[in-house]
Amino acid sequence: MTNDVERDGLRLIQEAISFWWGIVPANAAALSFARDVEAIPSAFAKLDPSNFDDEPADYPAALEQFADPVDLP
Amino acid sequence: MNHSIADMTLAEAASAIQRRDLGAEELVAACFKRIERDEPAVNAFIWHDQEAALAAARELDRQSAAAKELPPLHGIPLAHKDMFANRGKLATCGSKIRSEHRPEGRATAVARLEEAGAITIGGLNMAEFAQGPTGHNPHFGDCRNPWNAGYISGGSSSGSGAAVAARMVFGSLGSDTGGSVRIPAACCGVTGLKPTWSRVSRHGAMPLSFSMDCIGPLARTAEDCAILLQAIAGADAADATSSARSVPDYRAALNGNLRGLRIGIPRNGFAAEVDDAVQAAFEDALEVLEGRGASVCMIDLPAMDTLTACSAVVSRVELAACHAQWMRERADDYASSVSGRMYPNYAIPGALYVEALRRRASVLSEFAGPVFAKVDLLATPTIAKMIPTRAETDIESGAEGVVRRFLSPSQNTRQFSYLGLPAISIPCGFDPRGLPIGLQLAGRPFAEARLLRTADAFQRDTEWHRHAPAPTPM
Repeated sequence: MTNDVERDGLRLIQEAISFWWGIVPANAAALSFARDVEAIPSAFAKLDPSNFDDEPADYPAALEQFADPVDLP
Repeated sequence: MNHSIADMTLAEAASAIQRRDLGAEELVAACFKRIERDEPAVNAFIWHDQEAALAAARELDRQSAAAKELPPLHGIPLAHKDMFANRGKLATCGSKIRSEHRPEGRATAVARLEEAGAITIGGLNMAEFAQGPTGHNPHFGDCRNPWNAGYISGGSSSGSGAAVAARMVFGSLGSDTGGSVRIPAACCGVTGLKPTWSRVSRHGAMPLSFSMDCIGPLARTAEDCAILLQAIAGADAADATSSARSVPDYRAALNGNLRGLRIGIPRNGFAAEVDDAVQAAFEDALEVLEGRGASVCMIDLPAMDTLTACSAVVSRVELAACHAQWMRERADDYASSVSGRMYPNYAIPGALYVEALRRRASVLSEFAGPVFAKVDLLATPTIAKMIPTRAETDIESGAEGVVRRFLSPSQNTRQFSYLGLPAISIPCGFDPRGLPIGLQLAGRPFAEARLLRTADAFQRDTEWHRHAPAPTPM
């Protein structure tokens, strides 16, 4: 059963890539790495939906906000 | 221990040049003598040019005879990961696709080193297009660990770690998107610094993931890395993402004083299983830091699930985007392990990629606020497991579990890349097989001076960074 589900998942990934990108060749390594990609949507589904800004976040400003002082004591 | 010219640290060599005790030509000759001895076994270089390097050295020696003051890297031989533009020299990116690529112009980081007097003597081996933490490369041959050629050198800046460890050069630039400076530094027993994202210009460097790529130095000591970072850090009009923040005097920060420094050991978010030899070396390293005045505590890290999910998406999608045209037209010119790794990334929804970028500032705030209120630095083993062999991590073998083993070296490094935080790996011991173990320290944004101070203090009390591999048998 698991193998059928995995095969269906991998087939869908291959079809999506072929449809959107026109990239057809897949190899044994691709199928192994594809298992990691399959886990991505479910990982996102568990994240806190309130934990990002309405506006595109200013990441460089956040780096500055938490920066170490230029001159150490 | 052999104390030839090539065994000097970069700081020692630079100081000898400044005193006129040594000339650039002697340094270049010493490096090529070491290359001649060890390169056949290590395979750290994709190309080198002895004639040009010696000619540049002679010219610098002529200048130094007449000059009152010399720039800080005058006559120091360096070589870099083969992915930087440098006025028509090869920049293969470790690939077949760019095997004859000779970009005009010059990467800002390389230009700044050369303007400070350094001599670029070659281009160093790397994982194809910087994809992979092991040092495998089917196009130019694997870069092998100089401590034992059967083991991985780490990657993707494999040649940088191996060449510095084997004393073929005094320092090197690598790039780090998920651990590619720190992992080879740990595997090869050298010091490697991933600066804060935006601290060093990426202009003229091969992109992998523009939201996470960092250029950083590998050298024998923290002091050497401080000298190299001093030369390359700072704003660059050619890279709009480079930070305008002032650059500290990194070397002046190296005072050996860790009194009041708080170091946190993560309870979560990093490899749960650590090999005994690695754990023992890690604990010994913490004791050394405590001996210098640091305090150590355990800490729970917030936002790690979000960080892990988002990190995986950003680098994968940006990598896929960079290579889309070649993947359509020249997929067979990639190693199958590289095209295979990229291929599924094209199925990641664009909405998730945008979400991962939109969450980045919030995740950094959620992480950095509470964590850096409690501690100044985080410490982990750079690699939780003892270094694997090249054979057991060779994806082309198709062996059961090989993908997991291949990705394993980056288990403790990629977390800091999504956050954009600086991190350093320093040698802190050897496992029972005689292979190096690395200690990773990470800090708040732009904490490079604090990291270098801590690493330097550690190296004042330890000898791990002074060990050099014996001549490597074929």
